[in-house]
Order: sequence, then C-alpha cells, then structure tokens
Amino acid sequence: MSEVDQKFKVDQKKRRLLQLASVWGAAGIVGGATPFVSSLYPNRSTQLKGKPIDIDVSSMKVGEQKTVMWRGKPIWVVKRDQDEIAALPSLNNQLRDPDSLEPQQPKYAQNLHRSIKPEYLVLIGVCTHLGCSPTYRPDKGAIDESWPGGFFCSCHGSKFDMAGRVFSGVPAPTNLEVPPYHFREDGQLVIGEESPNE
Amino acid sequence: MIYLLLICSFLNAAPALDEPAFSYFEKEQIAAGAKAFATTCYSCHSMSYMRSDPVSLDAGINPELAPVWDSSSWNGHPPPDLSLITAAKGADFVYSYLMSYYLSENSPNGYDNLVLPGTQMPNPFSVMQGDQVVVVHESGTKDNLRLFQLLRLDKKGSMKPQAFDDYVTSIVAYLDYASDPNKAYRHKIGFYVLGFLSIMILIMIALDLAYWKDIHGDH
Amino acid sequence: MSEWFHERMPVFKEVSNHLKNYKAPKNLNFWYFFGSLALLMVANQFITGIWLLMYYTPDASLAMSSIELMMREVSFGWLFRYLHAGGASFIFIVIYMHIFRALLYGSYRSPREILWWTGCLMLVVFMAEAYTGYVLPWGQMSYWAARVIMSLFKTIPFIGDSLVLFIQGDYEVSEVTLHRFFAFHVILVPLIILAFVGLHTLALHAVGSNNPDGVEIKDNLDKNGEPVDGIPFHPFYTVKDIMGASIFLFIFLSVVFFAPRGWGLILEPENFEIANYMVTPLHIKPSWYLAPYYAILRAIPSKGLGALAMLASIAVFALLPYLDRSPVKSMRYKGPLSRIALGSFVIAFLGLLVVGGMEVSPLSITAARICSFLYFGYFLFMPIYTAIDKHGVPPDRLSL
Repeated sequence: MSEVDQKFKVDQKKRRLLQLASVWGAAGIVGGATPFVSSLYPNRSTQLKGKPIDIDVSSMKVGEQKTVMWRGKPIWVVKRDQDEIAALPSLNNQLRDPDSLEPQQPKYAQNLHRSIKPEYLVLIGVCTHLGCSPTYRPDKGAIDESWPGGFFCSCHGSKFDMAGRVFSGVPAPTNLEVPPYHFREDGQLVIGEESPNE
Repeated sequence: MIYLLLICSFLNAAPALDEPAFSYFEKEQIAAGAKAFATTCYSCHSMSYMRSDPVSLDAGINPELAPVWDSSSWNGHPPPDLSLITAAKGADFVYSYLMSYYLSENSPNGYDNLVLPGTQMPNPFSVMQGDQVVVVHESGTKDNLRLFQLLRLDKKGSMKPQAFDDYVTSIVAYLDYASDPNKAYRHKIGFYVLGFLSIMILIMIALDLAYWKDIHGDH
Repeated sequence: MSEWFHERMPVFKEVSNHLKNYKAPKNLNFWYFFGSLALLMVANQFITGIWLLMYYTPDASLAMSSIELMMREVSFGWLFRYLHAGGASFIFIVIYMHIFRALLYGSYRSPREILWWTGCLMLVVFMAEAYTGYVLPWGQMSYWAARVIMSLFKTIPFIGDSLVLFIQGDYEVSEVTLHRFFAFHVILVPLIILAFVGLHTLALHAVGSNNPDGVEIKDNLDKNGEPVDGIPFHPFYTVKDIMGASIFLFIFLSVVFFAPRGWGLILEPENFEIANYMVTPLHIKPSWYLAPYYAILRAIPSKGLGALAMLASIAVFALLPYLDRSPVKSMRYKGPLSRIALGSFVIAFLGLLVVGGMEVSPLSITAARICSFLYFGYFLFMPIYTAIDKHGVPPDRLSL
C-alpha cells in the first residue's frame, strides 16, 4: 500500500472513531443531563399537595360562594338560583363567547350554565386578563345600572356573568376557566379530577 | 435454656454486634417492617422524613399521626426521630439493641439493655419476645479467664424466637430503607451508568491511540 | 456568518485558536491528568451545588431536613447530594495527586513560581470551601468541627478573639454562623476559586507546562520558533484528557452509586444526628482530607504552637522553589537522597492522614510526631540533600 493510501486508512479510522466517540458521548451527556432536568418537575410532596380535594356542598345556601385553594389558585363554588340560570341566554348578545367555544372548560361544562349541575357553578377565580382575582357581585345593579349579577374584576374593569362568561368590551379576552371536577356518589364535590367513570 | 443471642462483653468492652438478615432488595420485608413500625414504634418515635413515602403511607405511618414531644419531656431525652437512625448508628447496632433487653430489678422500667446500658427507652417487646436474663459465662484457663455476658430467654413470649427475630429484622429493614429509600434504584441504574462508561472508556482509549500514533510511533 | 460574529466578539475564536496553537510537551504521562480532572470536579461541584441550592434551607432547624427531604422527594435528589459530597472527597484526591506530580517533576521551580503559588493559595481556598460546606448540614460533626476550627483561630495573638467574634457573628458558633458560612460557601469562596482557576491557567500558559524530564521544551525551538518537542494541545491532549476523564468518572461514579457514604469517610455516621450544642460527640474528627493537618496540630502539646505548626505545614509548600537546590528538576534525574526524602514525605503524609482520624492515645501521638518530623524534614533538609545528592544528566530532547 502506498504511503498516501496508508495515511488515508488511518484518517478514516480516526474519523470513524471520532464519530463513534461523539455519538456515544452525546448519548452520555443526554443521559447525564436527564436527572438534572427531571428534578425540576414538581417533587413528590408538592404533587401530594396538588391532589384533588373534596368540598361538602350539601349545606350551601342559594347565592353563597365558597372559595378553596387548589394548586395555588382560588377555586369558587357558587350556588345559583333558578332565575339566574334562566336569565343567562338573554345576555348572549353582550358576551364575547356566549357558547363557550374557546377551550376554557372541560366538555361537560360546555353548555349554557357551564357546569355539570346547573345550580353549582365551579370556576377558577383568576381573571383571564392579567391574573387578578375578581369579586363575586351577585346583586343586580351593583356595578352599574345594567349589571345583571356576576363577577367583577376591579384591577382593570373586566366583567363576567353568573356563568363566568366574559362581557364584550372589557380587557379580558376569554371566559373564566372551569377546572376539572366531578360529583361523587355521596354528593361530595371533588375539585381537581374528572369523574373516574368516564 | 434457649440461647437467643450470644452477646459477648469483655469487662467494659463494647458488645459484639449481631448482623440482621435483611436485604434492601426485599420489598415485602420492608413493607412488613413498616407495618411493624407503625404498630410498635410509631406511638413514640416520629419518622418525619418519610412524610410522602408510599411504603410508609401504606403502612399507616401518616405524618398527621406522628408523635410530637416537648424537648423537656422524658427527663429531657424525648424519643428521637428514627428516619436516620441506621445511618447514624448502623443497622447492626439497632438490631442488636432491639434484641438485647433483659430483666433488671434496679432499672426504673424493669428492663435494661446490654447494648446500651442504662437506656431510658422502655422495652417495647416484653410481650412478644418474653423476658431475657443476663448470665455470666466463664471461659478459658485460670490464668487466662474470660468473662462473657450472655442473654438467655427465661420466660417465653407470645412469639416464637425465630418469628420474633424476623419481626425485629423487618423493622430494621424498614429503618434502613427509611435512611436511604433509593438504594435499590440507585444500584440498578448504577450498573447501566458504569456499563455505559466502560464502553466510553474503550472508545476513548482507541481514539487516543489513533491520535498518538502520529507522535513518533505510539505513546 | 460566523465571521460576522467573531469580528464583534473575538474571544471565542481566540480561545479556540490558542488551544490549537498552545504547545505542550509530548511526553506528559499519568501524573498530568489531574489538572484537567480538577477542573472537571470543580464543574461537578458547581453544577450539583446549584441544584442543591434549589432545595437547601440554611436555617438550623431546617438545614438537615431540607437535605434529607430533597433526597427522598425530589426526583434524583439523592444523586445531587451524593455527587456533591463524594465530589468534595474526590476533588481532594485529585488535588493531592496533582501536587505530588509537582513534587515529582519539580514543577514548582523557576520559571513557574507564580504558577506554584497560585496553586498553593488554591489549596487553602479549597480547604475553606470544604470546611464551610461541611458545616451546612448542621449535623453533630458539622457543628463541633466548626467549634474546633473557630477555637483554633482564637489562638492567633492579639486579634484572635475579636477575629472569631467577627467570623462567627455570635458569642459561640450558632445559626448566625451557619447562615454566613452558607454565603461564604455558595458565592464568596466559589468566586475566589474561579478567579484562581483563571490566574492558574494564565500563569501556566505564560510559561508552558513542565514535563517528566524536567527539561524546558522552549529551550529547543525549530525554524518557526516552535518547540521541537511540543505538540498542539488540541487535539492531542483534549482527546487524552477526555479519555482520562472517562476512566476517572468510572471510579468516581462507582463510589457515588454503590458506596455513596464512602465507608464513613464521605458522609460520617455521626453527622446524621442533628447538631446538639450541649453534647459533644465522643470522637470529633475532621474530614479525611483535613486529617493530616489536624494530626500535626495535635502532635504539638502547646495550643498556640500546634496551630502555628498546622499553618506552617501548608505554608511551607510555598518555599519549595527556593528549598530545592538540585541542578535538575525531575526526580528521574535526581539521586537516592531525594528519592528517599520524597518517599518518606509520602509515607509521612499518609501516616498523618490515618493518625489524624484516630482518637488521641500515646501510640497515635507518637506516630503523629514521627510523621510530622518526616513531613517537615522533607522541606527543611531539602537545601542540603538536594545540593549534595548525586544526579543524572537530563537529555536535550524529551524522552517519551
């Protein structure tokens, strides 16, 4: 073999080895980085704190709002009366998303009253504008003359109706979010997970 | 006479410790030990670092039920948390300690411990183990006499000796698990890590030789 | 396009070119791995340290529990703890091997004095880092080691007591001390380490590396002005160092995964008990890498002189460039006296290491005294034995 051929063979060998080392080394770096990246995910104790919670709604009065913290956010449970529910369609032409087409709720809440049971409204109490927590204002005329009852965010004036649907002409872009929830057989409301039967 | 343990004591020498028969890979033993801990030990000793551990929670070691002691209680020595006890003292020590209670008239609780004489901890096993007594045993010649303190089971307990040994061993297995719960997993992936590195080493040696051949015929 | 970038931020291209142009001797052997390994371990301590920082709380009641909960609840939390604690021990193994290389080949000699002194200072800085880090879990050994070392500082004449008050921040070591040691360990000393790594590398690249023959490659230049026995650092030593790192990592990770408590040397059993300010452990001992100096301290019966001897045992390294009177640099060409002296120094160091971890007894004190004598003898008699010793003639060209 000529010297040039020999050198070419040696270079080829070096190149192969270099490629092999690079691939194996890259795999090693990915494997080595995995623990560091995966450790950033919420740890076991934090996940435990974020487990679904039970709420007893049996003693709630009509018009009452219960607030609980789940995964760092306020969750509202409001017991509505039949008139409020019946009045909801009449507001449709004042709302941005009256039929809840935007993905702000699970499919069992994609209805007129935005809930499983019409009388219990379950919402995440965080304004969809910039994250303040709105105030529950059920009384008609409380904010202005035409106020039908609902939720008012005093940070920038966003308004939501008694199903958490956002009014047109306010800064908030979408309806208030509905968290995953279901009712257990014994009537307890479980926030944080959909019904296991589905 | 049933010799349960042979714990030798040469004058004031430290007792020779027995080794418990457990393995960190035996999940059932650890789970059984967790249940044993929950029933026998958890009324006095907390296990605070295992607050979200699945094995502990399953066994009923619930952080809400953990005992809380004022630092001035128990004559200023409240029962310590046991999350790291086998790391601090060794599994052999803990096992031997738990097996070494014996009847002692002068002790306030009625029992003393051969591994930790004067221990404040009352004997939690008097019903299960029965009562042991200390027997002094002579050995050797007149010029080279050696004294041994042995424990002998004097009154039978509710458990047979081997069953009791297994019971205490499972508790120690759980305590050892509590001090280092990830040991089994760590050993498992350790093999893969070292295996990967072995291949890396072989590739790098080959690469090194390939490059250094240029430097006047090999290194 | 990369031209556009390099025009505006030339440092990356400059470093890359420098690595290809910087010439290292072609005969560097096993003892020359430990510089790059030290850098690897410093990187390990930084990265695992940052990840530990996410979970550690520097409060007396929360320190140990934050670490132990991280080990149980955070995904791979145990790995960060074991990598960091094991890494501290392995960094000292690497550093001591690295220093031994310098003793073996005379790397402390002119023109490398400043390089050597940056290294000596770095040894002290690493000891400070290890010491402040060891206090952070706030176990029994953490607390009582802090107490002992602080009482050492009290022996400094005139300023001792006030100095200790200022370092401790309290009348005795307490959670105030813990909190400021946390600040020292996490940012102050690491910044100093980074600065020294930079200075050490700059000093090295200014004069070039020594080699096992102790012959300056810059004394023999070709017509381009490049040393004939020099080879470009990249790719020869980059490849070689990665190979060395792989082998080292195998050893390091086998300890981390299969014996992370280091048989009581990395994570001591007594330190799994929370600090008790009123109960002194039966047997206070320092981490193994500080044990030799602790042994020297205990060998001298006087408190002040003992502390002085301990300080001297580290400071004396700085005098080496002037103590070594041999006409040759490398042990390869030095005579039997120098070899015996270095051998006895190694035995003395290892002896002190073992004795420093033992309880005080007549045997251990005698052994410590003999070893201290041999340890200091290596340095103090060096001007004599290196001058009178036989020596060989180093070659003009490097022997591989």
